[in-house]
Formats: sequence, C-alpha cells, structure tokens
Amino acid sequence: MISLLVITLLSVSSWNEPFWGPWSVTERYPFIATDAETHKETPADEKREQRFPSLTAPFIWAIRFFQIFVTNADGPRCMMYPTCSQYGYLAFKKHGPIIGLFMTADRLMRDNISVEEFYPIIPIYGTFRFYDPVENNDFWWTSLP
Amino acid sequence: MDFPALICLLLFFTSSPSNYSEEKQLLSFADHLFNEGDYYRAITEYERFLFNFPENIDAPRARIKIGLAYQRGQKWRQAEEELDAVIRDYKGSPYERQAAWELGETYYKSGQFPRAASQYKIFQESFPGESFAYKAQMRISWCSVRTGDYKTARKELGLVESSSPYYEPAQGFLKDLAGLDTLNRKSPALSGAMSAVIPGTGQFYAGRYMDGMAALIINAAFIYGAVEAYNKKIYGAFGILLFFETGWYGGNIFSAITSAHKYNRVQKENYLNTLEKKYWEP
Repeated sequence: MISLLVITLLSVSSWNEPFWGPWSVTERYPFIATDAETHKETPADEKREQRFPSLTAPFIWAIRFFQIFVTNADGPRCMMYPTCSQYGYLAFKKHGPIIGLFMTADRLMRDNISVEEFYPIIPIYGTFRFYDPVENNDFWWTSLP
Repeated sequence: MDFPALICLLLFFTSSPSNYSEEKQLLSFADHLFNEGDYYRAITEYERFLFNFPENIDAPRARIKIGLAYQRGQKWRQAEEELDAVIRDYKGSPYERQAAWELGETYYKSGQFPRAASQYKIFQESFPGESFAYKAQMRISWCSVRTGDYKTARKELGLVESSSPYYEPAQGFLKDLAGLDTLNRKSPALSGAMSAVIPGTGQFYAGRYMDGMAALIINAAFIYGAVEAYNKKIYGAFGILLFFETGWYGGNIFSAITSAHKYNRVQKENYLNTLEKKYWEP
C-alpha cells in the first residue's frame, strides 16, 4: 500500500517536469515528439512590460472571453499556430493596443487558403497547423522590444 | 573417431569466432544508430558503452559522439554541455580540438552566430596553422553574413591569407556577396502607401494575392456598411463598424508593409542559401 502511494506520488511529481522522451528529427524513425512546450509563451514574454496596460486590458479581456466561451462552444477552426486569438493576445501584450489591433486584424486577413504557400507546417494539438508566431511579423520593427 | 568428438570438432571449425570484443560491438552498434540518424537511441548506446567501459580508450570519442548526436538531433543546450565537458576533460588532446570545433558548429547551427564566431576565433587561437583554423576563418565570415553584417563579412573574407586553401573560395564568395545589393526587392513604403490608397493592392504588389483579396473585400464591406449606417442615421451601428474598420484598415497597411519585408527576406535567404551551397564546406 505504501509502495503504491510512493509510486503514485512520484509519477504525479514527474508531470511537472519538462518533456524529455524519445525524439527524432529524421523521417525514417518515428516522429514522436515535436515539443509543443517550446512554442508556448516563455517566462520572458510574461515578464515583458506592457505598453499602455489600461488601454490594452479591454482587448485582452475580449480575447480571453472569446477563447473561454466562444471557442469552447464552436470549436477550434484556426489553421495557424498560435491560433488567431492567441496571436492577438500575444500581439496586444507585446505591442499595446494600436499595433496589437493592427497585427490581429492582419493575422485574421492572412488566415486564408494561401497559408500552405507561406508558412511551415508543424504538428501540434494532435493535428498539423501553419506556424506563424508574432516574431514572424514584427521582425522588421526593430525599434520596438 | 567417435561421433561426439566429430560433432565437437565440426562445431569448433564451423563456428566463426567473433572479430569484435564486447566494447567494440557496443560502440559499433552505437555508431550504426548514429549513422542511421537514430540519434536518441544512439545516445543511449554510447551511454551504455561509457557506463560499462568508462576507462576505455574510445570513451572520449563516445562522449563527442553523444554531443554530436544531441547536435544533429537539434538538442542544442545538451550538445553544448556535452562538448564543453569534453573540452574541459581532455585538454591538450585531439579530442579537445574536435570538441572545440563541434561546439562552434553547434552554436552556428542553432543560430547563435555571435557565439559561434567567438568560438571559431578561440579555435583559431588554440590550434593555429591547422587546416580547420583556415576553415574557421570562412565560418567567421559566414557568421557575419548570417547576422546581416556584410561589411564585417567582407572584412573577414579579406583576412583569408593567400596561402590558405580557402583563398580562392573566399575571393569568389567576396565577389558573389555583392549580388545581395542587386536582388529584386519590394519597397515596404510603396507597398504600405498602395494599400493606404486602395486596400489590398500593397499585398498584390508583394506577391500575396489572397491576402490582398481578403483585405480588399473586408475593407470594402466595412466601409460600405459604415457609410450606409451613417446615411441611414443609425449612429450606433456606424460607430461599431467604424471601430472595426479602423482595425481592418490599419491591419491592411501593416500587412502590406510586412508582406514587402517578408518578400525581401525570402529573396535574401534564397540568395544566401545559393551561396551556402556554393561556398559552405561541411
């Protein structure tokens, strides 16, 4: 009984460890893991000082509302990663309300049938999506952090 | 001769004696996995070899191979740690030289170009006169090219001595680098201005036709809606549509400018990849 408890506790504690398992970069061997964790928001992004936080907040709330209630109701439909709502969230957090709004609108217009031509495909959420992070679109904007 | 003795004799002569000792077999299996590109399993086998035969003469080679397997498997941090440890543990040996080179390669392949350049410089200082020291000078130039610092790249290529086996390639590379200035480019300012006048045209100019079409239709629909709402004095709807149109219109200009920058980036990357095929020596 005690050993069972110890094993259970150990396995629970290992859930929080970073992913490390079989991996491969060649097609011949099973493609077991492209680590989705690497595409997540990093602590540096979290700590980034926001521009005009009070003006940005309503946009962030609207996006969060959309993600929690609307997406859960109508299901995920975005072809890209990060999803358009998550992209908007990251853009608002990084660049504030004005550029954040423009970048989000830009992304929504780019989420069309031409994605295959311009974006790399990555395996994520058990499916494949077109990879288009915020950094792919503000790279030329060198004066902003 | 009785029958059992004959069997024993037959078995003795027919069984092929193993050419490999256990450690050789372990190492050759690990090498086989490595050569097959199965890096994850190769690392396990090299680790097994090191666990069983830590004092073996091939132990440093196995450790370098672990570092290389991490590097080929794009596990950059682990590759750096492993190669760094080899450099520390085998100072003054040929393994130090190999690990130092591969550490530079790891930095380069992971896109850490300034770190790669300084590692190649360390390599040159530590192992002067070697063929790889000459090669390091070419790599340093590549680091500058990849960071977009073409001026430094030209300077570094100019430092390749005439006695170096890389002198001719360096001269060719220097000449071809000038081609970067003559690439077909799109003007981000023009692209943005075009989309400011007629939404979507800047994206067309930058070769993103579907994006341009989406921008044109969405902006036209919202402008039409806002004008209609204003004409019919439905000011609430007018305000809402105007707010959304502001986003679409700004996004359309942003998209046009970014599309031109992306076009230029692709042109540059393609040209650099052509140069890499021509002048990069693995």
